[in-house]
Amino acid sequence: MFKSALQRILVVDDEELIANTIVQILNRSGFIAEAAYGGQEAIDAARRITPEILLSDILMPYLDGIEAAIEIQKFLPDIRIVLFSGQAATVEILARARARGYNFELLAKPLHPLQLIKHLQELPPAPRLR
Amino acid sequence: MEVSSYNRAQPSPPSQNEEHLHLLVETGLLLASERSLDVVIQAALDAGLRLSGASFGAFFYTNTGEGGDPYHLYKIVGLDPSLLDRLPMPGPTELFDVTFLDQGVVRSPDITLDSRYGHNLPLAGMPPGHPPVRSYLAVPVRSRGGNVLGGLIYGHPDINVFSPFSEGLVATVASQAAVAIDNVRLAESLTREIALVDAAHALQLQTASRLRHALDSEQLGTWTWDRATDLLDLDERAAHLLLAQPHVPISRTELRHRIVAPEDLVEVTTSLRRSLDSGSHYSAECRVDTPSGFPTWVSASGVPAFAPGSSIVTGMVGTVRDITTRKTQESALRQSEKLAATGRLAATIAHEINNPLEAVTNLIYLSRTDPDVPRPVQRLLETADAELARVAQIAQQTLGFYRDTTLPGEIILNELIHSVVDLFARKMSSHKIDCTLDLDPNLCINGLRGEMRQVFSNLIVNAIEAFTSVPKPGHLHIRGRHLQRPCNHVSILISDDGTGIPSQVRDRIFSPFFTTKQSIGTGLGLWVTRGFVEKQGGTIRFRTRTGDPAGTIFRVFLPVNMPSSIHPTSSLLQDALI
Repeated sequence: MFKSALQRILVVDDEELIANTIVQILNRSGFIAEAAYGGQEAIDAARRITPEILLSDILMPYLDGIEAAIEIQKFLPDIRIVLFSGQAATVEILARARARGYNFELLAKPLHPLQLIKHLQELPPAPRLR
Repeated sequence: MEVSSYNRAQPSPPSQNEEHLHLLVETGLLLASERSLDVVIQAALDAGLRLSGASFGAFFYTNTGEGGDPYHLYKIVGLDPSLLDRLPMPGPTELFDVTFLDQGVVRSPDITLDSRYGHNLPLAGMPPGHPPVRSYLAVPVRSRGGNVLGGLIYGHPDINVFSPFSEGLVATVASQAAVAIDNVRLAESLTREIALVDAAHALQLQTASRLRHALDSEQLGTWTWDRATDLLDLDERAAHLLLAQPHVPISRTELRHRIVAPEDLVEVTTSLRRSLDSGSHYSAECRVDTPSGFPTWVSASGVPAFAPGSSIVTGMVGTVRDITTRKTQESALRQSEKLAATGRLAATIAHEINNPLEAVTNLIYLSRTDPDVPRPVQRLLETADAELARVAQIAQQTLGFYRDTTLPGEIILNELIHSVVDLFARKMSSHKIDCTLDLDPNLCINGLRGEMRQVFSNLIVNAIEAFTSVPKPGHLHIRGRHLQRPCNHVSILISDDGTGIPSQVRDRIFSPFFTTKQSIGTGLGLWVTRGFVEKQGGTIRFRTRTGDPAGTIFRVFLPVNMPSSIHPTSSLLQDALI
């Protein structure tokens, strides 16, 4: 079940309870996870821990998940990015990102932990920038 | 000179009289048979000239029209025809007035000696170019009605030419001419009247045809109603719409109670009462119960007819039309407005619910996977976890439509269908429904997981709800097969032995906003389901049976690889959400 090399995941959500519980779940499931609670904080953390995967909420105050992801991708070009959101409005944000050439995957909240783990374990290599 | 003139005036010898009578009879016969005014007048003028022995003559019309000259020189004889153009039209002179107004004959041996001659200025006698006249004979041509049609006027340069006998002959010709002219005019006016009647008839036909086309283009039926007898007369289209016989009188009250849907009876009756009381325009819309079981919407309108000189309504004339399409569209519009409002509300609530739901799901997962938690508590938490998954599913289904934004990927349908069945296991057991699965191993397709999940969850929910009106235990069977032909396809059958789909709704179950679950359905489930299946490149069909045994089988037929042209976020979903 566990991959040979443990993957580092940065979990970003402005709802700390969600970020913290997901970090706990992932840490129990063979990942090395760390939480961040905002867009700017996520960028800083990414520089520090150089994660292989970014799992981020989208709608956050100040700097949203998509902007943070685009920023992080600049210095970690191979990072795999998974966004998740509980709001339909995020579809439009995602469409705007796609128009700028970024094609992110979006998961709907709530997502059962087992599905999340399975999804992260089966992630394909990071798609190249279009 | 005088002698010779006198001699001429002597009574003619018998042979000449015979000749004159012969001419008179011939002229009479000719005039009686002739239908041309020109020929009639010419013949009369010629005969008069020969019978009177005049040297020239003229026929004047009496001008009966407004304005212009009172007398109109129409024809001359024994003179240069160009005189017709050169001579001025005669005015109302004393001499002419005798003939034309007093209707008397003027015979003068020498008109220049007549006391009535030459009094009228400016000419005081004959106009320049007029041939010299001494002997003068003027006879009016009188119609049967007594008015003067015109006059025959003869002249001779000698005196004493016209005898009383020749006056009598000319008078006879004049009366024959009058009869002939009357006949010609009668024939002309008859022809005119016939033409008028023809034109009126043609206009009537044209109007009727235009009205018919107008009614056709609007698909309008027509009706008339008599208040005293309460009888309606319907044309073909009206009869067809109102389920009656065309042009077979039927009581309005009876027809109303036979066809108008009970919920619309009050409106129809009130509208009629209002129109009868106030004499105003009648209009009503109602549903008509048809034998097919589906009501059609009709709109009837009419104008009241009144008793002469009174405000009492004695009946009505009106039209009726089918407005089912309009009503359906209106209702769909109302539904979609409702849906849009619901959608906005759902989006707001979704955000508030989905985040805590995510947190609680995570917390329960952490608790139940904690090795320190005793086994019985773990089992409780597992149940809580399953119930929470149901809440999550419901939130996704009802608080906004599921939007699949994942990229297409491999879907193992065995797992997906098992998980959907697990999700509804509790609901099925509470309805006493058992579910069996018979799936070929490894039913894999490439596609959008969320949408496929929605497809099977909609079909399974519908199957479960097919049992809700049946108290007996039900059975749900799901069969999945790899297909040999065409290869690279899978087929999933979902069959229930529930109540079946009534025949009258079978055509419409895939239509948007169609629902049999009035209070709880959006009418979008199967429409969305078919949209997802077709987007995947597949098809969905069903077979159903009511009666005994009853049941429904839905068959979803999917290609293993979805068409490459399809983008994950399709316009169907955008449409559904707007």
